[in-house]
Amino acid sequence: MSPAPVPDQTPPKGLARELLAELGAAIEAPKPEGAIRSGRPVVGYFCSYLPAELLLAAGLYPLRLRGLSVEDSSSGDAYLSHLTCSFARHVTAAVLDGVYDFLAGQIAVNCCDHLRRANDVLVAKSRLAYHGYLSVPRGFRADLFSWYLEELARLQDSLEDHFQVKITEAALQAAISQTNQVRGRMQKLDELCRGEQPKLSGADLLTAAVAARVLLPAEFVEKADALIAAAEKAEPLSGIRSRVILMGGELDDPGYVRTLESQGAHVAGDLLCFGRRGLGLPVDPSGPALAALARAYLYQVPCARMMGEFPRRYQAMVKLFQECGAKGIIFTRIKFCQIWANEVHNLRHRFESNPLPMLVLEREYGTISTGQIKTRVQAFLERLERAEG
Amino acid sequence: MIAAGVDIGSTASKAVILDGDRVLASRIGPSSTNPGRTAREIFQQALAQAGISEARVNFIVGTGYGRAQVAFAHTNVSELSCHGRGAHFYLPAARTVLDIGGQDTKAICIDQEGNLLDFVMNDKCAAGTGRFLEMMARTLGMGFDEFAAMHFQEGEPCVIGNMCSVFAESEVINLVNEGAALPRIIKGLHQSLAGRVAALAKRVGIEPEVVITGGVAKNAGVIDAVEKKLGQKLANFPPGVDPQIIGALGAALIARDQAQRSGQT
Repeated sequence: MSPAPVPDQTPPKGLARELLAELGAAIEAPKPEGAIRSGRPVVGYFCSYLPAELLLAAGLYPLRLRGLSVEDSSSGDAYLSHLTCSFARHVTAAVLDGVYDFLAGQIAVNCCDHLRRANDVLVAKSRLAYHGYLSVPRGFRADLFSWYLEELARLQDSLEDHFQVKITEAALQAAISQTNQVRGRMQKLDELCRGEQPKLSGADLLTAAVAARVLLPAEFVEKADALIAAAEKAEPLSGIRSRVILMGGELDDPGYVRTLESQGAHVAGDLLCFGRRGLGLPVDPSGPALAALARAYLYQVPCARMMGEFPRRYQAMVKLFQECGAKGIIFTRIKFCQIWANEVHNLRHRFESNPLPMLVLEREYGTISTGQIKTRVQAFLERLERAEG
Repeated sequence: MIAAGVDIGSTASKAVILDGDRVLASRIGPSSTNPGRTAREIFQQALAQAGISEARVNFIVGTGYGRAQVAFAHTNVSELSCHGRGAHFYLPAARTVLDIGGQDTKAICIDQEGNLLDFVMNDKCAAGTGRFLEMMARTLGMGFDEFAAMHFQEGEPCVIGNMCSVFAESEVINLVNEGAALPRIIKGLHQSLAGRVAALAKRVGIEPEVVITGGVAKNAGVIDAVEKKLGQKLANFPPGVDPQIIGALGAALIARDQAQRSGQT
């Protein structure tokens, strides 16, 4: 049976831990301090298909919208059915309850019907001054690229019009360069997590990845550089029973990953929107900047909302699984999220002919049923260990 | 070589002491708000029953929701693995184990050695768990034995439509007020629970033989309802074996294996 009971994975000590705590504080802060210092108007946005570079180039402060600071979603529940996913309800509640009153606006994406409805409520009921909208195709078909590019151009016009700014080619190129530095740092952090002797846990990586969505690039890069330097000198993590990859719907809570890892699972890689998938690879800046962004964002490892792109997503998952030396997949989805429920169905169908061990965990956004998760994860790891002999 | 398993569940706590393949003692007691103390007490009771001192126990495994609180255990293992091993000990042909506990229900798929292959769990609400029956028995003002026995009295089962335990309780109160006979209501409740358990079992895939473990397995009415719902007979533990100790037994068997592996014999 299993080896000795697993204590929490030993986190990197000293400086690395302090730097991670700083990043953790940044993602928990109700209002980003960097926004106050920068004086930039803050614009909240949903979805990894919205290029934050557009906002940076407009002199704005892009902030990925979350709902973690609101434990009670009743303001959102009043307008959204209880069959709406709790991420949509929590973010709506956060905006309606005034948590995001400092925002100069928000930009929604047609990620799913739940977030489209949440956007309807925000437009009708919030005090925000600007509501942008980006329509994103649901596939990679060649003719859809020009549609997405047009949509980005339309959003650019809308931002220029509302905020009375000019988004220049040079500003876009500079924003791409800055954001590529963020992606580069995340890749280095990723290597420190997935290497043979991991220095960072999956929870640490999600902390950093979420921080990359709430800090300005320069601030993130500075903190990431310090963390990389400290983590490289840190002792490798101990207490790892099995490496896994984590995938599924909206997850921005490192505490959830910490709970998984407390049982000895090491989340060596993820395909999460808020995680490593959503940041994507560095953008190739060649050619006009907006087209470069459209190429990079549309052709990123596809989210499950890209319904027709399951084969590519599956390939990316298998590649990640192999690269991480994973023994299993932990799949987490928010209750009532049909998009990711469909993904589970597709994966199970594939696993009939090409079996990979997978644990599916259903959850509500913002809450963790720690005991229930631990039991399932521990049993899953026991199953993986048994299979390994 | 002496090994022990201590299973701290949501409703009951259990301990089993093994000497090789022989069960020296098994004890069941209520769980409490102090799982660490409960674990110690139930273990001491089992030691007293076995007539041995704690020093003679080579290896101890904790399991159940309170497994991390069994401070004196050498290691802890999930209850899913433990129920599989425990059921296999008495029923080597079992491949599907349905553990109906106080707090959740688990469908467990095991191999020919009793090792965990796959599992699904239901714990989003109390429907399909021992807590559901506990609530209903309390509503009807009866003890468990009387409640289970009534299942076999005459009468067609009432339909209990609500999945939610709280609403099902309201439905039962309505049925009582409408004058429905108690055996009909109880059969309906058992059918409702069996439906939940069967749905869970189908999700993991039903491979015969199928066996039910956990405290609820002592209710013959539930066994009858699950057999009817699955359309197959369930495997029976040998006479005198309490299905509620199977998790603790599995923990003790795993403890025995660990001790042998680490040379503590």
